[in-house]
Amino acid sequence: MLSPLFKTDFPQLCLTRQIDGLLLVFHRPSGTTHFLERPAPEMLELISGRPMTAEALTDALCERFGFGADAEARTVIAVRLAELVAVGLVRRC
Amino acid sequence: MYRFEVRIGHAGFRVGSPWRRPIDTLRRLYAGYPTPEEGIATLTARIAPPKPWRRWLRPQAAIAGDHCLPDMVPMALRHALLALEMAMNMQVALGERRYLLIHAAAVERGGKALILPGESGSGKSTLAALLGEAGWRVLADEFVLIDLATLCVLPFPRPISLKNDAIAEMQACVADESRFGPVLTGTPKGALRHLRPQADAIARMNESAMPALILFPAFGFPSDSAGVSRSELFARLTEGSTNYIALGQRAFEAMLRIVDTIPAARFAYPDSAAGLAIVEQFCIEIGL
Repeated sequence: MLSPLFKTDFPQLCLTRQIDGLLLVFHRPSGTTHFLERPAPEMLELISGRPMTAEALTDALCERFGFGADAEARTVIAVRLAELVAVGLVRRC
Repeated sequence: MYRFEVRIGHAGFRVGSPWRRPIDTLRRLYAGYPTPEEGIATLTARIAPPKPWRRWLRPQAAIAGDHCLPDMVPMALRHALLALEMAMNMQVALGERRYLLIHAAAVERGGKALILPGESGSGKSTLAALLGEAGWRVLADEFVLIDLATLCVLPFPRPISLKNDAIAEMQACVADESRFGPVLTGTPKGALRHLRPQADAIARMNESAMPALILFPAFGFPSDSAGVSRSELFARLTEGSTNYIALGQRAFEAMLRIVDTIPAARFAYPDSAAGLAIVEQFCIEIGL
């Protein structure tokens, strides 16, 4: 089975502001407001305009942060991704 | 149906009840308030028996109006004044779309507003009532209305809802008994009594004030104070707003300007005297 691709309308359809080290995001389509902490903003940046699988996102994120893309990293990213899907900032396509 | 119409700040209320006594009580509590502008009430709040026989048999008052929540538990008729006040609150909480609502009390001095947000029991109403007797003008209890463009606080000087020990405390410092509503015992929050703000607060209900300070009180703890970060301020104010989501991007932008420009702190206090002293100290520090 093919792994699903994930996409986002961040930052095009969002208003953002850095506050106290957090990223405050107002998502225009849903009218919802979110406080994001690392690595969520970086995840959104990576899939912005370039839908990718959870595996590809983990690889890209680990490369950016200089970590090895091990099983723990894949689990953490999968959980964070599921959270972003649940709040509507990321969609499966 | 017995009716009463009143204007509180920008809001004109039409209040109705099938029982006469609650309306008479409400009319006494709101003595001195104006009627709606041009005689047009924009919000309707009422109470009604949940079943026809509940008008006479173990009578109960259910909250109704233009806006109401499903499954609200009706109250005993002896608490009809509380039901009417809650019905009026409901119209503002669920219907207001012009101004950002913050769950707080607010007072004004020298054209600047002090906003006191907080959960039930934090002491915000009692502090606002005490400050209202000590040279401040009561702008609001329960709902603070913020103009989205200017961030001004629009007065909404409803009678202040005093609970339990705060009732005796305010009775000791307000000589005019006619400013109090009846004592309601056995409500979900214990004993409750409303206090009408001073006549000046009602006469000046069209005069808005620029917010200068936001203080989160916490009653019942040793005196202490600390700053509130902008992220926490944003989160706590939006959590306590009933229309932040409905107002969308305008509310987000207004809330950002609030956290960027208005200093905020939290403080704990063991009794009213200590609480008032801490408030005044904060005000001195920011020149309020």
